[in-house]
Amino acid sequence: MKRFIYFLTTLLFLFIAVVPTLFTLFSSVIQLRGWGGIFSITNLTLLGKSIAMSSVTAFLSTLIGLLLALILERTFGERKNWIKLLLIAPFFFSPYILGVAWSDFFHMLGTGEKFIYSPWGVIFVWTMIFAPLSMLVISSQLANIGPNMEESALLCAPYRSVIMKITIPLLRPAILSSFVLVFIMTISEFSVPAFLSVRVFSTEIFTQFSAFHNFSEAVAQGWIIISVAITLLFLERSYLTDAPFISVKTDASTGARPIISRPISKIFHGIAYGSIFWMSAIPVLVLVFQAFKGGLGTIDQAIYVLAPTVINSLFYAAIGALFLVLFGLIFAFMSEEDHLRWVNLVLLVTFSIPSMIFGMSLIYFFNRPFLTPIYSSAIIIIFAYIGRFTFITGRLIANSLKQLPAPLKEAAIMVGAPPWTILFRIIIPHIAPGVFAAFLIAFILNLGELGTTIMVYPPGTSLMPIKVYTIMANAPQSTTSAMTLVVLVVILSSTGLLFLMRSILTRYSEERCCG
Amino acid sequence: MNKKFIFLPLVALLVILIHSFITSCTKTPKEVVVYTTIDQIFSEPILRDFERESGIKVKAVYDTEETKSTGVLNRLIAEAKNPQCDVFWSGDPIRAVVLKQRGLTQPYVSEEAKDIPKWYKDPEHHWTGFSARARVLIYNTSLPEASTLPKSIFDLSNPDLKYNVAIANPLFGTTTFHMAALFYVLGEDRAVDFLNRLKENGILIASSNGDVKKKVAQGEIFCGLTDTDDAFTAKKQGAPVDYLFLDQDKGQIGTLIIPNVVTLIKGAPHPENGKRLIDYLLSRETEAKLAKSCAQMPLHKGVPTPEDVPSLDDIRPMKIDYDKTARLMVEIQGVLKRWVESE
Repeated sequence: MKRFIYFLTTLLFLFIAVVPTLFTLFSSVIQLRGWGGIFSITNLTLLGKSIAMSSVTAFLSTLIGLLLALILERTFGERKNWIKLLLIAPFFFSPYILGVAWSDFFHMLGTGEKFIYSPWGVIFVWTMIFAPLSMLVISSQLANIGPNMEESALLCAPYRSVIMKITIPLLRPAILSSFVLVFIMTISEFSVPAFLSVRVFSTEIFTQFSAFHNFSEAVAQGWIIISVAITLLFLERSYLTDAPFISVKTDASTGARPIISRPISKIFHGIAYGSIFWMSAIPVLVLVFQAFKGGLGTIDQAIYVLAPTVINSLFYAAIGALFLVLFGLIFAFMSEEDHLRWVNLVLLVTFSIPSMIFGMSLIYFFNRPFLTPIYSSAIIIIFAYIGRFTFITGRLIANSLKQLPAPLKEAAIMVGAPPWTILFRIIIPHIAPGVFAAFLIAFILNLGELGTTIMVYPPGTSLMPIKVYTIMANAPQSTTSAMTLVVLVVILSSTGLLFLMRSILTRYSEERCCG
Repeated sequence: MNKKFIFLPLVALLVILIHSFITSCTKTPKEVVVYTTIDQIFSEPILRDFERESGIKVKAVYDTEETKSTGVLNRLIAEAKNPQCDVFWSGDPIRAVVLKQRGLTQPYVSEEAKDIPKWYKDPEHHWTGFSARARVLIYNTSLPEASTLPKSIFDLSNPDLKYNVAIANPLFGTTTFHMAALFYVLGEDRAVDFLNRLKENGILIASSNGDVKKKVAQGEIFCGLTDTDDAFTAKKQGAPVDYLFLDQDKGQIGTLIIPNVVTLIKGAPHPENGKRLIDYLLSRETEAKLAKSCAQMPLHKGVPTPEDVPSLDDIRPMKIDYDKTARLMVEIQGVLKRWVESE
């Protein structure tokens, strides 16, 4: 039965994400007239520039993420979760909207416009977007480090030495994972550099695709980005095995809290609040300012325009998240319980495919007469979500599985519990926080996904991010900003609702369990 | 954890997906699929009106600013082997010509278009033009430069406008068509020379026409080339801007008129409904609505328009062959790309 489920899941994932991409990639190679253009000096220079910009962004994001993770995990108490939520707010917006918000901010300041319309401006905007992600990756690893080592070291060394010699070396996998994750996400991101008029390799792909309609060349250039990402992943994998990327703490251990003076603690807290101000408050305030500049009617108008799309978007995001959790759960079992390591590689490779190329692949592969029912229905949207984000849910759940204490399972096996009982009574309850986090993150990512869904959404279907983008052309800036704020409120409210549902379900389960 | 919590939503979800699958398999005769590059804020009300008046459900795919309005064109090309779309409503003739060149359109002669001048129609009836925009110079009225306004597009390379003119990336959208029209009218050598002079004069290349409008409205730059609908909306929103048509004197090249065009897709799943939608879009009523909502100029004679919407009769148009210009655009893309990339 287990093997059958594994086989079916793998087959389905290959059908949804891998085969369409390979089909498109290989067709493009066959149709391409020559590789000379791909490896021209201009392209290689642009590729070098992209690699440099993504590397600097990944470095800066990881550095800021590390600092914030250390401050939050080691100097804040229960409040840290709220701080984290506030810090990741920019992640709910699309990079394009944030690019616009930051350029407007510098315009309002009356200075820095030259800076924002430069490669350093792009790096700045990317860093503001992805540093919170780095913080999440590193802080989840930090939360999983038991306090014993740090506390022992603190007996004979100052806290700074403990951080440098114990904590940071232990965080090495998360630091590298953060770097790789940000690098992969920025090297194929084109909306920010395109808006800020900075030429990079991803904008070159976009130009081939959109101005010249030269799909073969665009896809072949996409191959190069995928190859760079895979090379980086291999280097990272050979250096580290099973880096967590993102994990959710499932036990109750807490790290060692440093004994620091009040002024220093205040400085740390100031850095955290300052980061919230810079990374989240400024872009949100710019949007609020622009939205209310148009009067209260603008907000009403934004709600009126987006209202018909909210239910659809929440519905597809939830269904997509359910499937992502299912795929993630099964792939996590395959890699963690049965040590089928190729699963991770397949997921990593699909994750590194630029969203535009994945969208094209879905069209080329699924738009044929016998597959039309899939292509012309909402199923294609769910497929887009699965192809884009299974890696994330798979890793989240796999890392929760890693934290499952082996004696629990062994004890159940010894008393003769059947596999399904072990699964439902021991494993799933234990990894439930990780599964919930995977669902939540998948749900949020689905709600904001645009790169692939914009290319495949069935005619007549309305989704929130797509509506914002299609309306924003020629709509007043105030309307666009108001719509973005409405999207933020919808995401935050639905996230809050999911947390509420989880606590109700947990209470209900506990009541049933304990009488 | 109770197993019901896992299986109930899954069952519900499967039922919904199966329902969605079956619905998409069932052919609905009363529907039409339209892909449009016209801003949703203007095109959606027209399509809703058609839906209400005809009883035919309209399923639309709109384009986005982020994809430089080329998303639906790329999708149409990618869907070539199994078309999903019936009607393509484009904001300019370029994209329709690209589709025609790739054999993705079919001819249709609409009775509604018989009054439309023939130069706004494809000689082989693959596309038909209607409501038009024009290329204009949008400028900021609050800046001192507004006291002496350029009269010709060639004035934009004058040193007194150094670093004060913006243009959208000419590889995308109507700016590409504008460039192709200049190449058509001036010939390649003169056009390239003019572009180089613009570059030497520090022209700012913005990400889109909307971005040009925004930069001018915010006073970041004095003036820029954009379309009438952008300029009209900026004025309507109270921005300190105005616009003018360039090259309107005798002997000058005139300004580019860009009609909307509508095309019937080859192998359209609902061709008859598609033809009805095309007829509706080409009607005088639609032109009147577009004149009101986004200052588009009707191509039919005598269509009532608001006072602030200019009439084509009062504008000196650039004399071009739309089909040939659109074909030329494909040829000059490489030149434009090199120009954009040059320092």
